[in-house]
Order: sequence, then C-alpha cells, then structure tokens
Amino acid sequence: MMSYPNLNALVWQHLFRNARRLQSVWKSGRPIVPNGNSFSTEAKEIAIPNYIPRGPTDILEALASTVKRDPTAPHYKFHDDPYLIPASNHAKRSYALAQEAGRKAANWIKQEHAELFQHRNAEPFIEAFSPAEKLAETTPMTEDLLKKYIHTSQVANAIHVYGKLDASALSPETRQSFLEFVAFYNEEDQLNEDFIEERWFKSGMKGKDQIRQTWKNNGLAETVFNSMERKTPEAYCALICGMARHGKAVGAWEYYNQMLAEGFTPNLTTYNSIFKIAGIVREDAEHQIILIDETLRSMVHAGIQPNVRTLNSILESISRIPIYRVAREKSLQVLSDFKTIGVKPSLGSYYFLLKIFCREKGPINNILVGIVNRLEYEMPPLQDLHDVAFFAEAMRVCNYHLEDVQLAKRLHDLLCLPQNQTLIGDSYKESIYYRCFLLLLTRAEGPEALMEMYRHLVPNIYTPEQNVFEAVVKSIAECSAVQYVPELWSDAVYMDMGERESILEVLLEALASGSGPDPKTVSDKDDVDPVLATARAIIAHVDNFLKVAEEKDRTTSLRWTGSMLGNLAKVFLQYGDVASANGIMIKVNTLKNQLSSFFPVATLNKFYESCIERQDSAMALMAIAYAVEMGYDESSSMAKQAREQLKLDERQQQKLNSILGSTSTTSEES
Amino acid sequence: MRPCDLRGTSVLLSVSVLFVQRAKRVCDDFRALDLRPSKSNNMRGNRRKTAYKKTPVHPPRSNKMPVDQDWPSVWPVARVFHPASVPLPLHQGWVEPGITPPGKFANAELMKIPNFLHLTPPAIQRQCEALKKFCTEWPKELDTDEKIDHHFPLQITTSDYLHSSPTIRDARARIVTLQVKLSTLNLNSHAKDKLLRLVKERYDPVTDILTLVAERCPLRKQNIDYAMYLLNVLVSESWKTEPWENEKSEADMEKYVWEGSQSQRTLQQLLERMPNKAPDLPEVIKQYSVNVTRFHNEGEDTENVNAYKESVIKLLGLNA
Repeated sequence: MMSYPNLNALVWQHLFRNARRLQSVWKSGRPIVPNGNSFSTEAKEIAIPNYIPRGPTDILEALASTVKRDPTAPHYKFHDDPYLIPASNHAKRSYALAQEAGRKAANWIKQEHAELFQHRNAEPFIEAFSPAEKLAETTPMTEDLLKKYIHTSQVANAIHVYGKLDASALSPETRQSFLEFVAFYNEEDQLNEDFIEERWFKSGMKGKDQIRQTWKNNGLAETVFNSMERKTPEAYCALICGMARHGKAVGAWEYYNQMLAEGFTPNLTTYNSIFKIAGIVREDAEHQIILIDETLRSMVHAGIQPNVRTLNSILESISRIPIYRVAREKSLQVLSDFKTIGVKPSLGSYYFLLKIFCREKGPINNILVGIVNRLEYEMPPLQDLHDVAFFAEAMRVCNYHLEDVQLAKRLHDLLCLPQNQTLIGDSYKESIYYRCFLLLLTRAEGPEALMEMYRHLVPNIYTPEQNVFEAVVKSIAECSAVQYVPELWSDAVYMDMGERESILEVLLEALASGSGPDPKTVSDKDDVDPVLATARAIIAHVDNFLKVAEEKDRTTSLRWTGSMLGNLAKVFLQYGDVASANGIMIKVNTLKNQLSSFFPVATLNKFYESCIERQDSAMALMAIAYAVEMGYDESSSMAKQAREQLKLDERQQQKLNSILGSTSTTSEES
Repeated sequence: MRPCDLRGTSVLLSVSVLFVQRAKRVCDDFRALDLRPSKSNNMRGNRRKTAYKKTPVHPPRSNKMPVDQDWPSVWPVARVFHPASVPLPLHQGWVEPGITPPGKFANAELMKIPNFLHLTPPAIQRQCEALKKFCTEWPKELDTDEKIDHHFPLQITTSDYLHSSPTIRDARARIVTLQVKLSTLNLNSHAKDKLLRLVKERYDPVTDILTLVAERCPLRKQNIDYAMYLLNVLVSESWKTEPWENEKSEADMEKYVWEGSQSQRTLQQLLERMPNKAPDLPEVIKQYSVNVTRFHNEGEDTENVNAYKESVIKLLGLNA
C-alpha cells in the first residue's frame, strides 16, 4: 500500500539565480509511515531549525549596514560628477533648491491638472499618488468632507468648508477635533512634507530663545470656542495648548485659570504647555518655581502621569531663569524627581541642562562630560522637538565653554553612528556644529590632525565660513606647515572665497611662513614645487580677476596690499624665481600709493641683495627708488651699496644721483 | 542685352565705382557705400558673447581618494562605470597595434559592459557576514545528497519577481514546479509503466525525475495544492488495474519481451527445419534471446551488434 507524501517538516532552500528572480525550493519530509518503513525513525531525528522571522526590509537593512561613509563623495542628493559637485555654501543651497523646484513644479502640475492623473496602474493602489480633489463651488459641503480635510491636515480647505457649513449642525466630536486642528495650526498651512530641502534650509534656531507671539487674536479658534454653549474640558485644553504653542502666554494662562475655576482637570498636554509658559507668566524666579511646584502637585493629585515632554517643558522654563544658582539647583532636583518616577531624560532635557549650566558668562561646568558618558552608554530615542538642538549646543559648549577637544571628538563619534545621523536637525544647526568643531580643532590640534579632519569634512559635509577658514589657515601658518597651503588655496577657489582680501592675506602669510625648498629632495627639472606653483597661481588669479573687473567696469573690494605682495616676493625669492620677483617689484612700483599696507622692508632688502648678486641694475634702481619714496632709512645704505657693487651706465648713474639728491635734501632738512 | 550695351554699362559701372572711391576719400562724414554687404558683422557668431563667469571645475575625485579607503562604501551597488570615481588607469577599445587604447574618460566601451566593482571579495565577505544572522544551521544528519534525497524526496520550486514599476504583481509568481524521483515512490513494474504512460514527456529517464508544472490556478498556494493532488492521483491511478488493460497487445508494449514475440516464433520454425542442431541448444537459444532483447531495448551499439552476431553464429552453427 502506497503512502502518500504530505507536507510536514518543510525545509527552505533559497537559490538566487539572478538578481531579479528569487527561486525558492522546498523539500518535503518523509512522513511517519504506518507500515513500519525502516527509515521512518530517522525522520524524527532530523532536527530542522526554526525559520528566523524577518520583516520585508530586514535583509536590505542588513546589507545597508555594511556601507560606511565615502569621504570624497558629495551628498546623496547631488550628482556624482566633477562638474556637478557643489563646493561653496551658495552652490549647495542653489543646487538642492533647484532640484526641489522640480519637485514643486511636479506637485503643481499634479494639483492643477488632476484630469491627467486618472490612471490607476499601480497594484496595490497608492492613495498618496492620486491627485487631490480640488475644492470648488459645486463640491457638496458635508461634515465628512470636513473630517477628511482635518485628517489630511489641509488647513485652508478645512476652514473654507467649516465656513460654509452650519456650525450648529456639526456633531460635538467634529467640532472638538476642528477646534484642536485650528488651534494647533493657528489657521496656517504647514509646508508640504515632500519639500524636504526647503524644510532643511529653513533656519530653525534663530530667535528660538524668545517666544514670539504669532497667535491670531480673536481668530477662528477663539470664535469656535466661544460658539460652544457648554465649554468642555477638552475644548479648554485645545485652546490653552494652541495659545501656548503660538506664543500667547497671557491668554493661555487666563483660560487655564478659568478652567480650574470651573473645576475641570486639564490633560497632560495642557500641563506641559503651562510649564512651558511658566517663565513668562511669573517673572520672578521664586514665584516661577513656586508655580511649577504647585502645578506638579495638582498634576499628581489629578492622577496624571508626567512624561518626558513634561520634564523638557519644566527645564525649558527653568533655563530662562537668570539667577544661576537657583536654576541649577532646581533643574537637578527636577531631574532626580523625574528619575524616581521612571521618566528618562531625552536629548532635549540634556539640551536644556547645557543651557542652564554652561552659560556664556557663568562659571565653567563639566556637566557635558557626564552627559556624553551617559549617551555613549545608551542613546535615548527621538522623543521631543528640542532633541535635535542638542548636538549643536553641545559642540558650542565644547568649543567656547570647555575648550575640550577630546570631548568634542567623542561627541562627533556619537553623531557619526548611523542611527544618530538625523539628530543634527537642519542646515543651520549643522553649520553651527561643524563651525564650532573646526574652530576647536584649529586651536587644539597640530597641523596633521587638523588637516585630516578638515579633509574629512570639507567640502562635502561642511563648507567653512570665511572666519573659520581663516582660522584654519592661520593655525597652519603658525606651525609653518607650508605643505598644506596649496590644498587650502585650491579649496578656497572652489568654495568661492578666492577673491576676498582677508583670505588672500592669511593664505599668503601661510605660504611665506615656510623656509624655502628642501635641498635634500631631488626633483626633475620640469617639476615645479607646489608652493611656488601656488604663489604663481595666486598672482595669476588675482590679476585676472582685477582685469575682468576693470573691463566690465565693476567695483571690487579686492586690492593688492603691500603685505600680500611682500609675502609673494618672499616666496619667489626663497625658490629663486627671479622673473616673478621682478614682476612683483614692478607691480609695487606702479601701484605705489594705492597699496594699503607697506611693502615690508626685510623683503625689500632681500630683493635688493639678490638684484646686486645678479647685477640687475634696472631692478636695483627701482628698489632704491621705492625705498626713497617710502622714506625707508636703509635707502642711503642701499645707495652706497649700489655705487660700490653695481656696474651702472650713464643713464642709471644719473637716475641714481637724482634719487639720492632727493634723499640728501630730505635728510638735511630733517 | 547685346554685347555692346554690356560694355557700355560696364564702363558706366567702373566709372561709378571710381566715383564712389573718390567720394570715400574726399568726404569721410558720409557712410561708405557698400555694394556688397559683408556678412561678417551682423551674423550670430559675431555678436559679442557674454563672458560667463566660469566656475572652476574640480579634478576627478579619484585623485583625492586615499589608497586605504573603504572601497565597498565607494561602490556599494552595481553602477554604470563612472571614470571620475574609479581610481584605476583603465584602457579599453580596439586600436591598430602600437597605439595606446583609449583611456577611461568618455569611454563608451567601458560604460557598456557590466563591471563588477561592487563585488570585490572583501565586499562579498562583508555582506555575507551581515546576512549570517538570518541563516540557520544546516542539520548535521543531512550531510550527503543521498540522505537528503532519501529524507526529503519531494522538491517544490517557485519564483518571486521584483519590479521597479508601480505594480508589485507578476503573473509568473503563481507557477509551481514539483519534482520527485520515481525510485522513491516504490512502484512495481505495472504501476511504473502505467505512470510513465500517463505523464509522457514529464519524466526524464536520465535523472529519473518526474516534473509536474502547475500554473492553472491564480494563486501559488492553490497551485501547490493542485500539484500535490495531481501526484497523489497519478500514483493511485497507476496502482489500479483497469479491466481493459489486459487487452494490451504487442504493439502497446513499452519494451521488447522475448516470450511470445515474432522472433521466438521464427526461431522455433527455423529450429524445426534446421538439420544439425547445436549441442547446447537451450543455452544458445537463451543467449540469443537475451541478445535480441538487449538489441531491441537498448538500441544499436557496437557491443550489442557484436553480441548478436556471436549468438547468431553460434545458433546457426557457423563456426565450423
């Protein structure tokens, strides 16, 4: 009698034939056979391990975790092409926003011409891709439509529909949700979630310290609230939270008192809002703390469990107290109280702690060390709006307050973990973070370490601002690490900073800080030393820029200065490039009085000596002439040297005499 | 016009040209008469080009790549060859011998072919390490193919299809292939013969595998169930013996059987008529029958042909 195979004990064997076809091959097990087949006992012994469950994207995530950062590559949103990689801040912004403009254009087309997008070829159908029905005069205004708009966060449309509907015909739940909706958004549509670049570039930190009032007084929210005959506690809560969110602290406080007078208990969000505005409602620090304690007690009394947002709101109010000692004590007390309840602090709490403890004019406090230790052990998840402000503030503290580069590096390692990449917030915070980081490194690290980190960050992650770049170059100049200057010069050109006078000054300082070519290195005849090549390139670049500006009749703030030319001449003299040095001298002579700083005397002397060595009388005379005009004391000694060592012809002798004639008269007069 | 007139006009023309030239020299206030307008001044190419500020272009980033960089991070997935990101001096293209092949920039040949820069051994190793946590241990008892085939004789194959298009469905994902070795089914000769007649070309005699492809149902699960059902039905039907099966004639036979064949009858007749029979006749006949059967069943082979020849010679007593 034949036994039928059945499908118990399946084993999966996955065979990948090509990238797109996944073949799964199953082998079915032999069953337990009633007729005592000799192999039946073996089937029981084969232990097949259980299938490891995985989500739909787990394998992709596992493969993605093997990919680390590529330092030379641009950000993912830019094209990886030498012509299309942005280096300066302006270029990054315009490229990213240009791409976003395409997205916006597509969005506009989808909204304006909904009739072109009626096809349904996606299986399963994706609701977000179908065009939204436009609100027209003929659309029937129903409560369901209002609910739909509330659900999809379309503020303007929802308000329009509400206006058309009869207010009393709405059910209380809809009215409540509409009130919450309007109070939360303050009657303004938020920027579409698809426009990520615009959100990224919107500056978020500016003016965050002062709560600006943007609440619309006697606006739609208050109207809706007043139209309710019986004010429910939820309605009060909605209004209070909305007012607190948009800065109208006084109004929120009034309504809170009203609510308490009527005997209602607020909910958790309302309490959080009250904590946030405690600092504005009570100006005196003592009263503020009393208020916070009172509110906490009433919260406990009402049986509402506080959460991490409560902690952050309290710390936010405390951070506004100007008295350092009071703020410090209270914040630590609050932190330990919440810890006993079981509320763990989030990054936002740490942010406020830093604001409280590490004030600009306050004493130095090492709380950040403890915080970083805690974070290395366990990083709290993203829970609060203020969490994204932590890293920028922490790096600012490391740089200005503590000046601790080891701590800064630890902090940076924390940020570089893949799961923490999003915690940097937006582009403004990112620029603050890296600015502080780089400034700290310029002060604390030697040139090799500094340049290594610099190469890692610039220009793809961060484009330094002018003062940061100058700090980097100055640090290199101080260490006379002249081998890095060619790289810095090319970076300056790519980042659109090659035409700024201050940058050129520091770069040329750094270039001239070296000690000349290394006599031990053997190089080909045609090889130009990079330092020399850089000096030549700088001259060519600035000359070209000035020429183009003159042709186009543009005014520029860039001018040759004496110190710039002096440094250039020093470099040329060090490397023995006579022609370029002569060019500099000629330039100095022609621009004489337009130079804003003096051509340094030491360099002039050196140049003069090299002219005498080479017996270049024309140039020597030029140098003397310049010295005389500028009134340098060395001019007479230079002239004597000229008479003794140089062979001059008739015209040059005459010229020398005329120059010296003027000096003798001036010296006689003085 | 008549030639003399032309001459007249030409004289007139030359005179007027002279006039014009003199006029040019005499008074410079007037614009010079230009009988042949020169094309160069107003054409498109001659207009003053606005000098765009040329932003300096980076050199390719392969120049900046450190030697000890993490290559799997630079080239994580299959990608069209991009010369600025690959720090190798590659050349590709056929040229006359002696000339250097074209370099990597703007080289269509390098871009057309598939490159495996994303599959360097360290990258593969890293990815395998990352995937190990989803894999379970292979059972220790199943270390040979025979054991696997013995414990798990049934093999079901399905395919999944990925698309980068709006729809995730593919009609081919419902196809199910079921494969089983007939030796594991323990059929007797009648059942096996009947089964083979039922399945026809789905059986591969070389590997002894029966392949059933089910695609008639819309869902994969239904097709799997159908394939299992089909296997069950085939086996149960092949074990049954229908009454009309005993009408099987010689023409229906799947293999050559000596008993009752024409060859046997012919041999009988031959032997009756043969005068001198070989001494060990039954043996010789048996050998002959074996060779004839082999000859019919296994096909023509030099060995078979020779054996047949030998047995015929022996039978007819030709080796004198």
